Amino acid sequence: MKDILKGETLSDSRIKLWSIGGGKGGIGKSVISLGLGISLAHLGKKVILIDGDLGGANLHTLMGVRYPHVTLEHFLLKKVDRLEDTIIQTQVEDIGLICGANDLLGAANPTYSQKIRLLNQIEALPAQYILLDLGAGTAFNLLDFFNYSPGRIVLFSPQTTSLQNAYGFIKSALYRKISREFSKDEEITNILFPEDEKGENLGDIGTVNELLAQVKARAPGQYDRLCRLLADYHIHLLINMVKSNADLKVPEILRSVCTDFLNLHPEIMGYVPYDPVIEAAVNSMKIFPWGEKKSKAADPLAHLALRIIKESMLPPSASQSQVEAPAEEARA
Amino acid sequence: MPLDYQHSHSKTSGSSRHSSDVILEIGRPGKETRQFPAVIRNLRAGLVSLEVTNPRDLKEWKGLKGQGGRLYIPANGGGEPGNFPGKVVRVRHFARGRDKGLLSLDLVLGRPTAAAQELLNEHIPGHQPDIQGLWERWDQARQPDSQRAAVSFRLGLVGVTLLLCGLFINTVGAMPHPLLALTFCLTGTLGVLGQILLLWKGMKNSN
Repeated sequence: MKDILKGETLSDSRIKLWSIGGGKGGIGKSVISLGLGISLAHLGKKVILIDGDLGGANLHTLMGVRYPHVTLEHFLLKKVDRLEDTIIQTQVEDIGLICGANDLLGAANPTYSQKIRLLNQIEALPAQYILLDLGAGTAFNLLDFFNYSPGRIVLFSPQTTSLQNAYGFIKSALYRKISREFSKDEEITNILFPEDEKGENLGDIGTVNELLAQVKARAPGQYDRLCRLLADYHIHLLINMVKSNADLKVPEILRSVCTDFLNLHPEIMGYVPYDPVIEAAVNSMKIFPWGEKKSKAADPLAHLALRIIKESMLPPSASQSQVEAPAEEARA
Repeated sequence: MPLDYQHSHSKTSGSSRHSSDVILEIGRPGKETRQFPAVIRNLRAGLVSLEVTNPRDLKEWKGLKGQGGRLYIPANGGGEPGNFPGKVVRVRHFARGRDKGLLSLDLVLGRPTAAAQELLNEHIPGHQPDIQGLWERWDQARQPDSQRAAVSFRLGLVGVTLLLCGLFINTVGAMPHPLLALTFCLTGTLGVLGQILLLWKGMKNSN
């Protein structure tokens, strides 16, 4: 552990930007982003939190900032040239905050050039770790931010609705990634978005195995490229608000479905137990409860922070870059 | 196989594979049975939700609740046809304009096997295999708890029965058999303790 922590400079991490998404609202994305940020800061890391919820930003509220004087809105509207100039220093040492744009018509849907300008400057921010707290839903902009991040965390709670939304989020993000990657390939686009003779959409392709089979048959030249994309698409699963041992089965379910139907191999990062103290802290606009009466979630978050540091510094493993054949082919 | 109800519902939304081939039979053993062509709308943990469109004899639809039922599903591919006994636990009628409307029923099937579950799933119109896979795994993950509860209940029941038998033999029996009574009491106590242990483990897991 000490080896991981000592001597890291601002540019040592392989993965600097981590996105926290999950599809459903109210599962604690902002709270977990903040908790992870504080845990990383406690380990001596310089962290910047970005509120990526461009339509309903509230991370600043969790950090006790009621009236942010500068937000992403200023950057998107070019009132501020550099993203770095939108960083707000917070009560927690070593944590900078970039507030999300709020109540601005259209801010939730930045233009392509705004998005590129934002993404280009995120990686250049002066921090060892940048945590991007994404909003709820599966809007394209949100999926693009998620896909752009080298570190991707899908957060969910043990509720059935959250499990379903988390799977939907992963599937949408993956399909968005594939469609962007192959946007210039007409054959793949036709496979992804089949249309009838009248040009009406016939729905999505279904499972990734079906997609692979069709690509192999209709665009064999792109088959290896698609396999590599799938092999390189890494996500981490994190369950929040765990109340019982039975809840710990939920990430296993999600991983198994992703493996069987999306040809992905997500890693289960860990869990954060339900803690009413956090809820009370949020309601009283107090910062994450790390004080004397430490929250039940503090230790698991500290472990998760260590995991993030470790993962960020590891070189891409051989298994990660290995092209995997779909399950059906492996059986054949 | 005479049908009591019209077979006019088969055009359903989505890709209704085989949906018109599903037959629901309702009736008590030895009495008159009725058969309805039905569409499977939902499936969760052994509970199948069905729809019958434009049923003919509607007067006694409320009486269907609580009756035994059987679901017949034709084989798909090279598999076996499905024949699932169950019990109707909910019936609701929805009027639809000048038509006779729609009958919505829930049938409890107990615990269908994985193969049976798959066959049922394949007859849900417009089902998505990945979402189906998600809920199947969800159901499977929840099963051990209900199995443990059933084992715990049986263990407790056997334990109490043995304990009572032991006490009966020792006190009320015409010819007291102290050794036999003691054996019964000890075994019964072990059974009850086993149930307490299982319940405690279950509570520990759920906390």
